[in-house]
Amino acid sequence: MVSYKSTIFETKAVVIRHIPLGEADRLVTFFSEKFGKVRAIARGVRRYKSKMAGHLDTLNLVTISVGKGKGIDVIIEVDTLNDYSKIKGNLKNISLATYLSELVEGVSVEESPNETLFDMFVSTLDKIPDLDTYKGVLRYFEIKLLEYSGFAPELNNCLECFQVLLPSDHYFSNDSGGLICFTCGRLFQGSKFPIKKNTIKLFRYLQKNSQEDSLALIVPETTANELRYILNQYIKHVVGKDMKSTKFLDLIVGNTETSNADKS
Amino acid sequence: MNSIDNLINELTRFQGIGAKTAQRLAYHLVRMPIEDAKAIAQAIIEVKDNIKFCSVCFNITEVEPCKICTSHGRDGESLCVVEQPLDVVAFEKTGVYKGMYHVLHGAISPINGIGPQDIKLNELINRVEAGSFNEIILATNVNLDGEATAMYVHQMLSKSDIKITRPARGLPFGGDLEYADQTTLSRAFEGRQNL
Repeated sequence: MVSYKSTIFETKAVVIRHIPLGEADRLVTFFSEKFGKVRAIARGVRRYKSKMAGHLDTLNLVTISVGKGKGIDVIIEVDTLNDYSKIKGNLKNISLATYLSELVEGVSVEESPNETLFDMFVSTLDKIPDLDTYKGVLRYFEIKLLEYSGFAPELNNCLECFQVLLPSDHYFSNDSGGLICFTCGRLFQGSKFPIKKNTIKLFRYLQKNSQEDSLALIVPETTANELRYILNQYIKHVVGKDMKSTKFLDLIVGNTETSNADKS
Repeated sequence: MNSIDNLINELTRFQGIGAKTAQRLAYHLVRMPIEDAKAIAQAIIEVKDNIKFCSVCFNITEVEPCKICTSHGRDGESLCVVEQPLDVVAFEKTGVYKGMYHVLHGAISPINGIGPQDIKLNELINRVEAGSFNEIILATNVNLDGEATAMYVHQMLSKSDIKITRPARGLPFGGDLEYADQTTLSRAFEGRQNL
């Protein structure tokens, strides 16, 4: 494995965002396979004839060679592996992919590789153009993102009394990092959200099973919406801020998207 | 803080001007004849006092509405939508386009939380619905945000009969094929023309 302390390092990465810097440069944020979050300057990339400009479009899967700089690293070379043109040609796909990018950026850390998360991120981006519905994919991604970054919520035992949770409505606590039983919840002073029995079942199912299994699920809208709410609140707590891309996601996809069964 | 330190500090407000550049500029101003320095200061004040946004196209202007919007010599049936006022300058320099403009002051950027309501997009839709344009040219930047903006506008205007176009994208003049990325090459190939 290449040490992050090498003078030049190479890795596969997805372009998450870029901001203009100086007259013609950009500061680019990647989520990389080998080094977690990477921030590096792309010199001269805003000039029209820049060789790197097209390769550094947001969402591109690229290989990058980065030189360690004194203050900040510099991109030496970049080559596109997949420009995800099928995602970029569709507003729904863009809104979904951008949301996943922002989630990944929120939990990733510089010099802290997370190859499992990287592989899931790229494989989900690959699947986006062929998806009929989005809800199951989003919830599964959110749950696994939390697990792979060390924030998997406790769903089987009460975090106050440590008893096995009975099949019933309970509470979810962001601060505790999971479920609190109904009895403890009534006395619990911290912030908590009620969570219904069926939502807990769905939560556990997605935590234990594969993405393909999640796509086959038929879920009532109220259950799906409650899980979405609980997960969004917990992710906001973990990351420390709102996901800005949910605004556009809700505008384009809608926050009442139903499964195919629910539509009938 | 003395006056030179204060000047250096103020100059670093500009995008792209770091401490070293600000220092060089400050000392250049110190050596400059006082009349020239006063002229620079006066020009800055005049821009802030006189420049406003055109109520029709949202370009920067000293007269309201702007000269382009009030010009009788322009094609009032063609509307070119751009992200920034500097894009208008770039198009005007070509001398090729003689229609009207609409400046969005940004692009839809989902990851930054910038949506249609944060740029002059509703104003564009209202302007198109009230106007008599027969072509809307979506000249937003050729990147994810620019493409998302163009697609959104196209979606909003899709029910009208107006022709909606996007400038050709492809290989830059003077560029080498071997360095072009796959997106640029694909687009250039799709847009190939008869000689």
